[in-house]
Amino acid sequence: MTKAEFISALAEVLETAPEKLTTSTDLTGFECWDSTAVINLLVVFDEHGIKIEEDKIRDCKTVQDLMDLTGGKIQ
Amino acid sequence: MRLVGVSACVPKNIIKPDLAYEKFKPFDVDRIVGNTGVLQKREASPGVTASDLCIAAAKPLIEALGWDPKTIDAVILVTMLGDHYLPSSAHRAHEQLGLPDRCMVFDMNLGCSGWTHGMLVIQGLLASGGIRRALLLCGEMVTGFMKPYAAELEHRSDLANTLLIGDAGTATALTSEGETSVRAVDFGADGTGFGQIIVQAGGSRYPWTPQMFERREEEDETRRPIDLTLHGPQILAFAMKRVPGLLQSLLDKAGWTRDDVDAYVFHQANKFMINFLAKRAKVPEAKLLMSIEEFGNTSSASIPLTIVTRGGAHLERPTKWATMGFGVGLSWSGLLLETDRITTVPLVEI
Repeated sequence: MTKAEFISALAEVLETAPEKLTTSTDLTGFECWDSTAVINLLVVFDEHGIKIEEDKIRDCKTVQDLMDLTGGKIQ
Repeated sequence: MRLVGVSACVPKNIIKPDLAYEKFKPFDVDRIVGNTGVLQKREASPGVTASDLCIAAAKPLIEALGWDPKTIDAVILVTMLGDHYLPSSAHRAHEQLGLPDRCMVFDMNLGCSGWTHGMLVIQGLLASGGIRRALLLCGEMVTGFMKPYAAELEHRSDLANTLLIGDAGTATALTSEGETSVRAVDFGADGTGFGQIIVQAGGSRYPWTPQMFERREEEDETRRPIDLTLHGPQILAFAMKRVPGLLQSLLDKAGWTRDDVDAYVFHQANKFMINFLAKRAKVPEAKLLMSIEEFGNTSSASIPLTIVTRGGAHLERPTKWATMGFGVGLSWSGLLLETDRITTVPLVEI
């Protein structure tokens, strides 16, 4: 999965525009950052063959945290 | 085991999300309705139980089948909320349906996998040779217990469950007479997910205390031990891991391809999850039956309710079914079935 693909998918989950997201963007600032977002992200990762533990997604604070979770699978 | 009849009963009272918009942020309600896909559901009146709904579904089905009730020698009722701590609610059904003294009667405490688990148990009973005709009653009526009535909905933490979960009762008629309908079965459980779908209090481990019923204002977002708690992301991760594998195992056992199946019926968990699992398991979209938008998640009743209300012509002609239940336990099970004609009756409303 490319970084651009991930940012685009994440923007959809957070109901925002991709250009509003940087690696340091604070996820907790989004109204959509809830269990539904976690579910949607699990699906995004799954569709790209990336297995992530759901508990760890909720603990992420920034976009970079999410990318770090994938262990380098977002290029 | 031959599947010969299915019927369902729902309460008359239709609940739509409209009333939630008056009390909560439209953003929150939209998000829940958008994901669950529940546009309406049914809510039973106080005093009506899962066994009432199941019995109301079973009576006309027994008649339509032309079965003498005295020839039914097993009735199993699947519910998470029985009428009483004891006896089993199935005994009420046994009495109300006029079943014979020589009858195997008990409840099974299961939710989402209840219908498929129940089918497997009855398959075993029929195969034992001691039982010829059986009724599987699957129903849930948790409104007013594990979640509030929609009209009494006040707290944000109750919103999703109140919009998602519906009440229903069903009856499935099974017999050892004639050719078997079962082409493949599989099942499993994962106790490490015990707490993912849970009502903590009210049993012997956490008996009710008056404090458990209190809700402090600052804890509005937190569920109490007496409330139904569903951990959405964990449940999705579980279903993602188990359901596509369940389908593949069933198909392998029967020697069927995905295209051989005429109708896929998943437990109606929520629309997002059903669509995702169907896509993930490569289920042809046109063959996926869904009733969640009209009745919500009705737990163990959801598969038979979907067969009755969405089965259409499949009930009249030879049909290959893939049925899969998954959820509380955590547990999962599935059956591939081949039926000629399934007797049913119009949806019963009480």
